Amino acid sequence: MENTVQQTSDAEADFASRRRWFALAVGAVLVGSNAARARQPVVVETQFVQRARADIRDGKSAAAAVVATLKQGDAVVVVAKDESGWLTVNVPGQAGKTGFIFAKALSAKKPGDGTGLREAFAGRTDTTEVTAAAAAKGLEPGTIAMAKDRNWNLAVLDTLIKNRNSVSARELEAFKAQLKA
Amino acid sequence: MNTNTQSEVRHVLTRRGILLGSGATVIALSGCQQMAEIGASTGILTQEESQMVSAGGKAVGAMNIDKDEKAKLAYGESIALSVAAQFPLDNSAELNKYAMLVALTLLEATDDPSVPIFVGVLASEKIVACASPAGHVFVSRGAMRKMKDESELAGVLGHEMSHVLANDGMSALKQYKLAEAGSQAASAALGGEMKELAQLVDQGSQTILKRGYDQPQEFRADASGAKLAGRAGYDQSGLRRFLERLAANTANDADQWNSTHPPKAQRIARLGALPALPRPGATVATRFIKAIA
Repeated sequence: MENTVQQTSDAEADFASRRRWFALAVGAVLVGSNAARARQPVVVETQFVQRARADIRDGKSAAAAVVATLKQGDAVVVVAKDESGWLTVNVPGQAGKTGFIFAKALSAKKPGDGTGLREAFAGRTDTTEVTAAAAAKGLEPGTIAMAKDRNWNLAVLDTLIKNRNSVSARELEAFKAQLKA
Repeated sequence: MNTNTQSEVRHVLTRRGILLGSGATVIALSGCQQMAEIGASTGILTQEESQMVSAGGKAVGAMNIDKDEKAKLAYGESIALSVAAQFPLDNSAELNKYAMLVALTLLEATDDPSVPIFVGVLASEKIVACASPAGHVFVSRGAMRKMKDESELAGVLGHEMSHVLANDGMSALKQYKLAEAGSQAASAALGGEMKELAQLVDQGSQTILKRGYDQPQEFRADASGAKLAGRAGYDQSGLRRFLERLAANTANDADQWNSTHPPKAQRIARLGALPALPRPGATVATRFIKAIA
């Protein structure tokens, strides 16, 4: 009888020990997988801006603050990517600072130069004065030349850009949340 | 026919061939340049005609500008300025920001939230909604006054943003160039590339404010815009309800959308045939009414 009790106690101790090891093993696997999930695949590759303008933002949102604006053909170093489509990139000219840019604005291939009328749109026929004014305003020289020719108010474009940038990521999230309320 | 006459006939035919070939067919820039140089060097074309052929080639080459983002931006910015010259921006910062928030809500529901979209409310009582190829989206205060809730605004902005996302403005530009390919002498006579840019911008403005895009593009923008509103969480029938209200008031002279878009009955029928979403979206009337007050 005493022997039977002893055997049961040993079996229980053995079971408890196995359960502890099992729990530890499961825990280790979970910790490992969470750590892997938290890490973004690290890449270091140079890509080129495909659009006339592309913003690097301080968050993964269309309304996140702009930390830098790149021009078509500018190179940017991608340091991480995930399935959201937003890439983590080094902010050019700001050592150690990173930001986010959407993958569709970039490509590994450098875009070509314009010719013919494309250069007229880009301002080849403009004077130095117009080109300098365009650079100062962040607008295309062709736009400035057209506005000058037609006496159009260039401040309109500035107003539209300011309106776009007046929305913060937090405001947009709060605005969207009311759709679900 | 003597040798001289035969030679003259050949010369005339070759000359006609070069002019016809350069004007009526769509060929690459380098091809036109070569043709102009050959024509001039052989004496088949006069110097002036050679310049015309060369200019035509440059203009035809410009059909690739839809692949040049800087050109697209300059073209789109110029069209936006042209729109604002006809319909000034509303000076309410709150109303403009509200419309921008709706557009950004839609943008984040697309597969590319980094597309540049800039929204401006026009201080006009006419019913106007349009977009430049570079992402400047306009809606008039008059149009907003005809709406009952935010889902209707989302439908209209979604329609215009769909034109931007589908690059319809640049497709239309290619059509202008194709239409002009037979009469390229005009571009040389008018004084070069800057004049041609001005002509194209005028055509682009007329398309978005007066003529509208082709019917298939408009129907597609309706469907895409409504679906986009639905994906963003809005009631996707907003655009259809807005059109029904406009259609009920057919005598409305202020309805610019009427002249630039296909018949409303067809648009309403097509929008009504869209498959319903599993969950009904939000209409958001209270916030909308407060914003436009």
